[in-house]
Amino acid sequence: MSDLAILIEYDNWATETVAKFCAALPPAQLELTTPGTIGTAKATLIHLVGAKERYAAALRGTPPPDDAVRETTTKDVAPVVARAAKLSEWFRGFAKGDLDMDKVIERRGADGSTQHMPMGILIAQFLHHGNEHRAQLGSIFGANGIEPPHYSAFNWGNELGKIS
Amino acid sequence: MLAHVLRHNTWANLTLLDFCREVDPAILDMTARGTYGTVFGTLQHLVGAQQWYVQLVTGEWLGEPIRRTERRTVDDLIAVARATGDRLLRIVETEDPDRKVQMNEGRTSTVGVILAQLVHHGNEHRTQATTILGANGLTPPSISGWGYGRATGISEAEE
Repeated sequence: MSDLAILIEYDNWATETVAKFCAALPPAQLELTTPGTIGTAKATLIHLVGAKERYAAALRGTPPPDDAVRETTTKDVAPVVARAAKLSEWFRGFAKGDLDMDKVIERRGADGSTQHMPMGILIAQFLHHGNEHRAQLGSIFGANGIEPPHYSAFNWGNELGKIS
Repeated sequence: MLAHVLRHNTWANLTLLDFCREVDPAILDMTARGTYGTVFGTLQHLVGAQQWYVQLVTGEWLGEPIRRTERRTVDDLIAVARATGDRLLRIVETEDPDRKVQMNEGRTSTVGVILAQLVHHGNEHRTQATTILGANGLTPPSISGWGYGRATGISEAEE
C-alpha cells in the first residue's frame, strides 16, 4: 500500500468513526456547538462528508450522485453514515490507481467558478479538511462534556494491528 | 505522493507560528473550551510531537527535544518545525511505509501509520489553535490546503 493510500484509509476510518458516533447520539446533542467552530455537531459532520463528496467528484471528473450528502439538503445523520461508507469504498479504489499528483484537476468553487489545481493540492486540502472538521467535532463534544471518539491515526493503527 | 500534503503541513505550521510571533504575547495564553490548552501550549505540543515522529523514523532528534515541562520560544518552535518539515520530504522519498520502527514502551509501528498520525496530529492541533483564536474574536490565518496552493502560486483554488 502506498503512503497516500495509508492516509486515505485512515481518513476513511476516522470519518466513518465520527459519523457512526454522531448517529448514536440523541438528537439534542447533535445540535451542540462551541465558539470558534463552524456550527453544530450535525452541521459540521454534514459539511465534512459533503465536502468529501465534492473532492471525490472533482477527482472523478463527474458531478456528485443524486444521493450525495449536501449541506443544503441533507437533514439527517443516518444517510451521512451510509454515504461516508460509500465514499470510503470509492477513495479506496482511487488510491489503488496509478496516480499522478501533477495531473490538473478541475473543480467547481463555492461561488460557481471553475478552478484548476494539481491533484496533489486537492489531496492536501481533502486530508486537511477531514482532520480539521473532525477536530472541531472533538472540540464541540469536549466542550459539552461528551467524551469524543478516539479517532487518531495511532488509534487506527492499533485497531489494524499496524501498531503492536 | 505525499509531497504536497507534507509541504502543506510545514507551510501551515510556519504560517501559524509566524502569526504567533507577531501578535500580542497575551494572545498566546488564550484558550477555549474543548481544545488542548493555550495557543502556545498547543503549538509547542504540535511541534514537539512532530519532532518525536521524525525521530521515530530516522532515529535522530532535530534540535533539542521539546519537553512538556518547559516553555520554548516561538523562534525555537519555528526552527524545529522547519527542520523536521524538510526532513519529512526526504523520508517520503526514501522510506518504505510498511517498515516497522520502535516506539515507546516496547511498541512498534509502521512508518505509514506514523506519517498518517503526523498529518492528522498537525491538522488537529492547528484547528484547535484556530478555534481558540476564533472563540476569542480573532481572525486566524488561512491554513487550508487551498491557502497553501495560493501562497505558493501553485493553484488559485479557494474555499
